[in-house]
Amino acid sequence: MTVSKSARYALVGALALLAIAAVLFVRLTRYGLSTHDEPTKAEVVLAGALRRWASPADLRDKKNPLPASPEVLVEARSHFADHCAVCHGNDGKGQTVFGQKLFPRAPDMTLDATQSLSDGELFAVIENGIRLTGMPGWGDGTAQTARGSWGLVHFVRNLSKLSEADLREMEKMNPMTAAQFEQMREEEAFLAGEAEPPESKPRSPRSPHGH
Amino acid sequence: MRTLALLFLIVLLASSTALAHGGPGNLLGIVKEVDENHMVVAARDGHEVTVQLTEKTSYEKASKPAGRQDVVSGARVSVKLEKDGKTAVIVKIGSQTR
Repeated sequence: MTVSKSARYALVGALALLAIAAVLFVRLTRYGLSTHDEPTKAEVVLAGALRRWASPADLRDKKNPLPASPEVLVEARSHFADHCAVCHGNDGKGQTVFGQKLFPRAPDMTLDATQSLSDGELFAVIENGIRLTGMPGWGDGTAQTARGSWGLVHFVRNLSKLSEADLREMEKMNPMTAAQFEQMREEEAFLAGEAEPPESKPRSPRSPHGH
Repeated sequence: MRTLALLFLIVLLASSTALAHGGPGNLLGIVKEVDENHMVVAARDGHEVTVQLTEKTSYEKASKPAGRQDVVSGARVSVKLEKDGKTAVIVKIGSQTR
């Protein structure tokens, strides 16, 4: 019995796919969908290529239409501190509790992998999010939200220029838990001399939730 | 059972001591002594804590940048500490105690 060349290729292809599926199946049954492991190189390359490929064509090469005025940058900085820093960190390096527990990890956006994306690609990520990662899509189709996202694109481009003073200012704009808010008020009262002397007032216990 | 109870007690004591110092990484107190590289802070629970000041330590007074020279004996301070619990990252300087 003779087997045609194309049938042989198809068979080899099918066997290769079967082998990949078997490896994935074993990994899945052994490790589940855990986020603890670092993504493999293959996953990183594939995800990067897919993200680039999946960016809407009309945005891929689009330049930021919003002028990078000081007002826009200040607005974007506070927006980032309030909405994005919990995962990305104020400095955009992703070294946060949440950012380092995601799969894939929140990236260091000062690096080339992010900075080499076009304005339109960054905008698409912010507006539409990325499926199966922690990145939500913030866009709601309104011009106002789009303006905010273009402002964030400017902010991402300027991450490496943030000063210590900028970062400290951002810390004040980061979301707080009720316990952190109470702690801040207590600190302000103490520094202003409004709180009781240290020895006479033991510190109130805080939530033991240490995250 | 007794060992478990003892362990629980140790953990409880250790955590309450940490909280009395203002939680991990943060210290509220009054400056007792200060020099170029160190300051001794009387924490709110009465403990005295020696804090290292480095060239990376930043200072803030009334939400504005300040300097090491603004830290004086008797000043109320809030100190954000490094993970080592000894080195100051940010020192916020408040009012002077009477």
